[in-house]
Amino acid sequence: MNQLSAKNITIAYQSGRNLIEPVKDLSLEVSQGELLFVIGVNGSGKSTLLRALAGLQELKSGEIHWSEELLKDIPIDHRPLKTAYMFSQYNRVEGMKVLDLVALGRHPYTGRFGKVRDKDLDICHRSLQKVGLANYADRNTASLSDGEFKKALLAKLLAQDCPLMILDEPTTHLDLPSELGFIKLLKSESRKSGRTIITSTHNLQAALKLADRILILGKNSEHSIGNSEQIASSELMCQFLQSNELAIKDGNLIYNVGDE
Amino acid sequence: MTQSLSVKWIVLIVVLAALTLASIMSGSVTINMSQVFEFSDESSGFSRMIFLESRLPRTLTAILAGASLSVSGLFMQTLFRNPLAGPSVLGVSSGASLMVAFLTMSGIFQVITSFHLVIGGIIGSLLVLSILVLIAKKFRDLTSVLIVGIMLSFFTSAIVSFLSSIASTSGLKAFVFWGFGSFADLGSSQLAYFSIPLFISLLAVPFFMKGLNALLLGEPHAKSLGVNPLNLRRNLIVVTGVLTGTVTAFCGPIAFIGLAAPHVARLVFRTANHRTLIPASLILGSIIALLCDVIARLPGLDYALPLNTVCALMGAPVVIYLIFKGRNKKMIF
Repeated sequence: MNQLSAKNITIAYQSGRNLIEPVKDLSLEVSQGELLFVIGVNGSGKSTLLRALAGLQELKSGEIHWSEELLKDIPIDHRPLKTAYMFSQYNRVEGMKVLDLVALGRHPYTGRFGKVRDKDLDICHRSLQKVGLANYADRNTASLSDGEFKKALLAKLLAQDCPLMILDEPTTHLDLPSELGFIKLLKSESRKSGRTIITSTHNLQAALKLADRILILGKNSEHSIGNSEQIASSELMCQFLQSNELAIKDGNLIYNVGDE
Repeated sequence: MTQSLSVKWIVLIVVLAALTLASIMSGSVTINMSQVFEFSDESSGFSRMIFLESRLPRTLTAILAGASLSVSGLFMQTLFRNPLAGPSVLGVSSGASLMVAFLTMSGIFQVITSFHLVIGGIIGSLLVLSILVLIAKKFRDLTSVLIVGIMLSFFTSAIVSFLSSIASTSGLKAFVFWGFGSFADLGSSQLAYFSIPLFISLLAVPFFMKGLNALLLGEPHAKSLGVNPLNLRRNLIVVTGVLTGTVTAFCGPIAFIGLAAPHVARLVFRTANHRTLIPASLILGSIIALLCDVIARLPGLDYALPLNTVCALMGAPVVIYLIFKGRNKKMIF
């Protein structure tokens, strides 16, 4: 079953006098439980595409379906029950407890006054446990390291309990081990809970190793999609790597940088 | 944890009750509370009249004004993600100031009663409010709304300065006295006009708890949780505008309570959750307003101090302390 399908979507916006089309005539089908990585150079439209797939960005043309439903027809307040979204950047709020942050994931389920019930709290604690922050519930989010904060945000996404999760460069600013840990969490979540996960990343190596499929975006709105091997040998990948100093051999990213 | 939490609420309510009593008791005439509820001789009638016509309206005004200003300040601090935002940040209170300045100082009107000032203040705040709502709809980013609000304040204060320069001595005096701020200008008959818009707006306040929590991480985030950020923004501006506009019209531009009370609430409860911060700000706003009112009438003073003098003397150190505290932690918001 397709969790998400996009048909011929084009996204355009006005920037001064120029009409910019970061995504042009893109079609995409993502099946349930799939882990899809989106890669591409800065400015290739990764964030715009992800926002559109999450229903946070208007389309110029084309249509998006979540499961069988046309995204346009799903009311805004029902969307967070089906798709959870993580932005690439968040403000840290002084005094906000980790548990309160995670409980925001329960926001679509709470009533008019936002009362978080015991059942919701259970889900929040379980989500914190999954990301390895079981003892962090009462900590101030402002005191967390970047890696811990991103994990707390992931716990919030998990607490939202959606079949589809879309993450925009969730591991930017993380050190390598934290980044790998985070991506492995995504992998295990897609395997264990059958959630569909779409995430953009600059960590090509991790994408090559762990992705079910990779979507690569080019500078001029081109794209191709396939498994790691197909993408590794694609024309867009050559463009992406730009020179002989970066290459992919046997599914591994190689740095051909010597002394000059 | 839960126990210390409920202790905090009990302490706040006890302090509120104690200050309410203190506020009713304090004033130039000592009233005997036992006489207030007796209906026999002449002296008790006098105490009862002071109680009903002066003290009770003043105390209720302080409670309502404090609660309204502080919840407005909380709304604006969360909306603009700026710890130094207050109810006056939108320029609504300067709209009220402008109209009051016009009434008192332009010389067009011969007789100005406090009722005229109130009507003028409300018209002024509604004027600025409607400009803001239109702008808030047009602009996607909040900074523009903030800048327009601040510019409106500059604009109106420039006109107020001009009016002051041509005003008669008595008009200028009336305006300056309005600017001192006071909870005591309302009689029991005017209290209804004051409390009805406030009550209606305050009834809407609990419905913002959920949206404001989603807004903590920014408008795009709120949208990802199914909140329409533009509607939320408009509703916040309208409620804040009505609350601040009404209080400013009746009591004058009262500084600091709206800015400081939400910070005190955050300090006391150490949380950013609006399910706690909203009720805490309401109570703490009333407490601070009553405290200022009582201090302004400390026994031994022959006359009441201007309310804004007391507010600023108390409020400024609090805000400075908060800025220093924020510096140490590198981040306030």
